Amino acid sequence: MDSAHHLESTEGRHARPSRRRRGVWSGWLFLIPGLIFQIVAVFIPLLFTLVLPFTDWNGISAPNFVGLSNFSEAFGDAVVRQALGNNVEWSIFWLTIPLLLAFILASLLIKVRHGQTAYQAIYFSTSIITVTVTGEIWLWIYDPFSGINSYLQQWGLGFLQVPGLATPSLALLSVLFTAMWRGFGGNVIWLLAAMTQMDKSMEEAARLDGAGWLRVLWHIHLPQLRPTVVILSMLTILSSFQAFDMVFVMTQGGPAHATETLSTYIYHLSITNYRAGYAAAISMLQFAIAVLLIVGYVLLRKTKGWEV
Amino acid sequence: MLRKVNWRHLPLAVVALYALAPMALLAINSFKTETDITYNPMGLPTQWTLQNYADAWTQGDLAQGYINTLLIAVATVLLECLVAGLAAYALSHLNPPGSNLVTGYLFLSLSLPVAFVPLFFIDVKLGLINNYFGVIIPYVGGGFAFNVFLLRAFMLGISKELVESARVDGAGNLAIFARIIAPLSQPAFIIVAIFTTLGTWNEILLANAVLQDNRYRTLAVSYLDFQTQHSTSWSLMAADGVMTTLPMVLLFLLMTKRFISGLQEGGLKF
Repeated sequence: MDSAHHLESTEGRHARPSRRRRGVWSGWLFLIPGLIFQIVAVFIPLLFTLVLPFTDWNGISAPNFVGLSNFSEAFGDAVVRQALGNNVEWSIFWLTIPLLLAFILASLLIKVRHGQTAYQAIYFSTSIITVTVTGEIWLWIYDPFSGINSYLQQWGLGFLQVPGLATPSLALLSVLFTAMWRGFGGNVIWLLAAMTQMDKSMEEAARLDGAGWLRVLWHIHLPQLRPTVVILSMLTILSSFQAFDMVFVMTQGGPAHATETLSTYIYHLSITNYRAGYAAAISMLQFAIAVLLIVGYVLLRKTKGWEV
Repeated sequence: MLRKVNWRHLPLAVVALYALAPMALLAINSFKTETDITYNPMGLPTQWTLQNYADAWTQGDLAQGYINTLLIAVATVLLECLVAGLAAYALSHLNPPGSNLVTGYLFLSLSLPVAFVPLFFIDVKLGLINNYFGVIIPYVGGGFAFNVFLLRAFMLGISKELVESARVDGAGNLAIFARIIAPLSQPAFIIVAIFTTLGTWNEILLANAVLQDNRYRTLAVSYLDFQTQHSTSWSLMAADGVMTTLPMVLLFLLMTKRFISGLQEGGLKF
């Protein structure tokens, strides 16, 4: 019976082959316009990223092939090392303080009956503020003469004054706290969405068996939230290695490269110094990190069988 | 009779204050005079003034900034909704041969970093420096993959029978898209539109590099210029900042629910 049905349907298809065929392939007409934009904006630049590092291109005259010299220069470049270290610090920061804060806030929100949406809206509203304006607000709050520091002075707490952005060792952290103010809300919303989907009966059963909140959190909540936490962490690391906006706005990478990230360095190299080849060699580092992360993530999914 | 208030509101409200206070500070300081702000940087204005707004409007050439930003945002949103919508329809209902390769390719490209250096020099080569399309094309192309997945997820929920019955009635693919798929997917399109607007409004990496001439600067990047010119004038900066962000704040207030549900779905489906 199955084969008879199959026969019939193929016969039907043969009846009007040309029209049917055109109908099947015509779907591509809907894909092509968007793919053209995507290829111009993503794929072609990506190919360039793979080729440019081996050239001395300045963006204007014809490029010369220079072998691996850009890479050897990058390995010896102290600024690259500083910037990479800052990107690592950036991702460690985002994986700890804001994520933990978001987790706590989401755990509190899930137990609140009224105002869930209002709180979420308020927490996310900071992300609406243009990054250049956000930078300005916080430059001001950190400012020794107009911000928090001036109040500490007035209240006789001058010894607590911290010239955050001017001190190389604190500058990056100052930028990070601004970035956190702007970006923590999204994490709260995502974690809360995941928590809302959790199976409540498991928690109730465990509580009846006398499990404390820590055990419930560890054995029941966290395993259910794992897909979200893993994805969130991966996206956080990916974006941390591309951190640009807030640094560019607040410090331009200074003082003395203390807040330089790979992206701000690449930006200055290519726009100000017209060293496209060398800048591309450094951006290949970002590319490699992204690929490593994605491969690691896929492997994790395969070996652990995580349903993400 | 006393209703017991959930203790959780206390920490939640404290964090809400942490989120709102810096914004309130910006708004309040935009109404202060220059001397007021020096002696009283964080309190309420002793005398309210609108002069900062008038000055910032002319000195920052905000009229041109609004025009540029709006043009870029509207063009990006319309193009993105069109091309991502068509593609999502193809990848959810038409499924032409080989389209699963496209799906796979788009998924992979989602997490790759922006290749800024070549993107900038492609614009240079194509003569798109100081041209709106120098940023519009990368914005549309860069957001394409993510938005296709968002729209596709929604369109997969539209019943095949509905589409087939329209086909039987003689409707072509384009007609089906325009009369059935697009109207039914409106909520997803609105989410794409608001997040694309927000993204283009606030983008500075490419806009700052590509739109170099003052006549083409968007609000977000012309704020940087304003900052270097008036670094000491906090009240002027505050007024300019309010005007730069106000349209997005209004959009957010009008569509809070959509923003939040859009984020929730984006987070869950990624």
